[in-house]
Amino acid sequence: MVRPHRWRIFITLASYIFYAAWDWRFALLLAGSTIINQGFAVAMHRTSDQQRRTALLVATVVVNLGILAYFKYWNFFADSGQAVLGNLGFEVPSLLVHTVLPVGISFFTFMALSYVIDIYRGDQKPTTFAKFTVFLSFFPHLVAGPIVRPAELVPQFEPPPDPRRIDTTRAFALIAGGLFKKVVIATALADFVDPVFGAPNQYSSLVVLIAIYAYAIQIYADFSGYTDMAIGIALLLGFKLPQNFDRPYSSASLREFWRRWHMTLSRWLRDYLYIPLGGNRKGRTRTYINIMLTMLLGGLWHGASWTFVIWGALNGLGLVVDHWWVSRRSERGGREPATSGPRRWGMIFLTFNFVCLAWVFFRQDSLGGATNLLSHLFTNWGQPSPQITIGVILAIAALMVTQFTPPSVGQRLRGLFSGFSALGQGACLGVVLMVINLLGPYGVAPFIYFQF
Amino acid sequence: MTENSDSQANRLRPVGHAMLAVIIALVLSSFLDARALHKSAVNQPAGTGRDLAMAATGALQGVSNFTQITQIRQGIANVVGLGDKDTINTKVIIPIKAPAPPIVPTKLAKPTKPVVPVKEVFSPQKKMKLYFGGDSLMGTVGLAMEQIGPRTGVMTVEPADFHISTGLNRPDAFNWFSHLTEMLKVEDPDVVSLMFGGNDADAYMSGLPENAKQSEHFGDAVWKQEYRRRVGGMMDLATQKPGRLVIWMGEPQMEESALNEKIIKLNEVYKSEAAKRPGRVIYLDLYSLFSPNGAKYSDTITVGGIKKVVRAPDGVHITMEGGAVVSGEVLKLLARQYDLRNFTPASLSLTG
Repeated sequence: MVRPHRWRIFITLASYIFYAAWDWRFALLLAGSTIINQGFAVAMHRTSDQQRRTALLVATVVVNLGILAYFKYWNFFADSGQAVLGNLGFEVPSLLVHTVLPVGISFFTFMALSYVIDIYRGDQKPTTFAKFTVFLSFFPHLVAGPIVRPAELVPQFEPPPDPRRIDTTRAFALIAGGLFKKVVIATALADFVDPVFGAPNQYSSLVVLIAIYAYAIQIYADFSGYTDMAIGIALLLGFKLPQNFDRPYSSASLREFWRRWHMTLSRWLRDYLYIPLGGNRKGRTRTYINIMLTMLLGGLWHGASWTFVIWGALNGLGLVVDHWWVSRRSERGGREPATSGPRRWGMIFLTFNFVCLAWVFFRQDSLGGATNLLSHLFTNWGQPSPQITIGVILAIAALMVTQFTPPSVGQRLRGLFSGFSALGQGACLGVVLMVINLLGPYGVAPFIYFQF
Repeated sequence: MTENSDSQANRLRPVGHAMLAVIIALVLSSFLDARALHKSAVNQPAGTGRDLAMAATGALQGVSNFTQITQIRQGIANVVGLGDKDTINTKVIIPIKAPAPPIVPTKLAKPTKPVVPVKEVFSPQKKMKLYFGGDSLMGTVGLAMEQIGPRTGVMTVEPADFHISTGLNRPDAFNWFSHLTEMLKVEDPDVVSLMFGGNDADAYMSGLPENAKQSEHFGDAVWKQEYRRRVGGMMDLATQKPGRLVIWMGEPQMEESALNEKIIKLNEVYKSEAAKRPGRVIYLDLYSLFSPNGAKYSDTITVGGIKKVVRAPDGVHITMEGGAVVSGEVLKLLARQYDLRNFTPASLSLTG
């Protein structure tokens, strides 16, 4: 059995080398965030003075969000401010700075914040500096999540995982499935989506429509593919990370969608933003305002752009309508939401199309680009659409089928695979790797969520 | 079904089992993918790493071919229409003979006045078709042109055909000579715009003619001779069809001085080869466009009194705004070269 402290040193070093491979300065930033947040956490735990604890919490939030804001939002606000002042007749020198966004900064900042806030709330005690370092830098989740809570990961460090009891089946299934989603599906669809979103006026309305659906599948395959691999790799090391996607496009309402899409961000926003704002405890109007605020900030979390704000606003508005509709039905003694049948399929169709509409704003660089794309949904019908190939249709269909496949099917297959010897499992994986390599391109684009 | 019940249903294995399964998977897939691995090795930049990779994957491919295991992948590839995926194509196919100079139609306005060349007319009824191809630097230029071109009402722009990390040095990595031949056949554009160089700042070239010497240093006589042959060949290839125009875009200034020195040498080749083909090829000088009056590298330029960020933070690539600026220059050039009915570059906003 590996001694815990040696294991922690090894995994910390490995994680920092992994992270510094992008840019060594990023590693300094991560180390700085670790030291500062652990400092705040320990100081907070040591004092019983509530005022001091609150002051420390405010300082933690300001420092973390300040660093995040500098890297992610400075140029956005400097640019917008300059434009507003310029319109008012004030000449303001450009305050734009050229910074490279450190990979994963949003993810580890949110994890650090949840650690200190949980300590403030008394839900968590500070862990040792060594364990907190591993928690924050653990390489599988470091660059694009899932956003792990301290209570989920830190207890797994002591005692360290038993190397004789690894769920290799689930780990291999997640890694192979994630690789397939990213390398084959997401990349194939990116080749179709990128030109259409870049110049929609060049394509027929049918191509634009299919490209919008294709982007919904692309971003799902890309992001869930990454997190599946991250969870699978952590499992091979003996650690369980939380699930991040649960067949989101089979959702029959927007509320259900957000319980199934980027689940760890949704619950972070719920626990550290929506509930502290008052959640649904302060009346209907405040609930709707809280939902809108949460979704707007969730949109801004993705980046400093008005397109993300609109994306957040659309989702917020959709959730408000969803809440209003459900409460209105329950007040009138209406039927429970359908769990099957044509009504549920209708709701799934509606939800999926609404989500796809919002993705247009998420994907495009400007509001003009988004509205231009949407306008071309109506202007070019009847034109030939040679870009819609069998490959594109198959990629979309394949991912959509997985959304409606009961989990028991996958479990039965994994049960079968689980009984194989190492030779049998290795042979299966070897063939899967060959198929992925064959169907994928030479060279794969970076993950979409690395930019957040 | 929860994850925990899933995990309970699966047999938990010792870590040694996982490692053995992974090793078997990697070894097996290495043999199955031997041809693809060898192609990846061949595509690497010249150097010891490439030599080692080629030796290792060459041996792997030998075993794979001998045992016929490679046929499994090839069989599946044939079924899904990817039969040529692992083929390494280093053939530099360029015309042996340059096309004849264009015959400019003329009309006599009046017997006493000089001869006026007749410009080819493009209109909403007969639109000009443009093709933009090249490496990653062409990406934003092509994409900007895709958006701006159709707004003129007299042209259509094919989707930007840019391929990252490609150039004319390494047809083994991406064979532009074969690719352009195919694209011209399929698209049949009136104007072909090309930009290369960012990935050609290196002495090593694949696909050399038989018995040709490999250049030892970038910019030496051997390199210059072969690179000229390729650039000129691409120009001739694109203008095989009478009346087709090539706009060859030179590289903009690079932030890193060592790379920029090489870019200057590359631009000399492009400019002089374009000059040898009057009426067929026009050189568009992006170096001067983004660094007017010999200015030092800057990521912004001022156009019409407005400062625009035209270069990406990496000091190499062009931003979308930069792409729009280049598109404006292309439109001006086309308006001089052709009779574009009802269109003048000044009438078009490039940012709308």
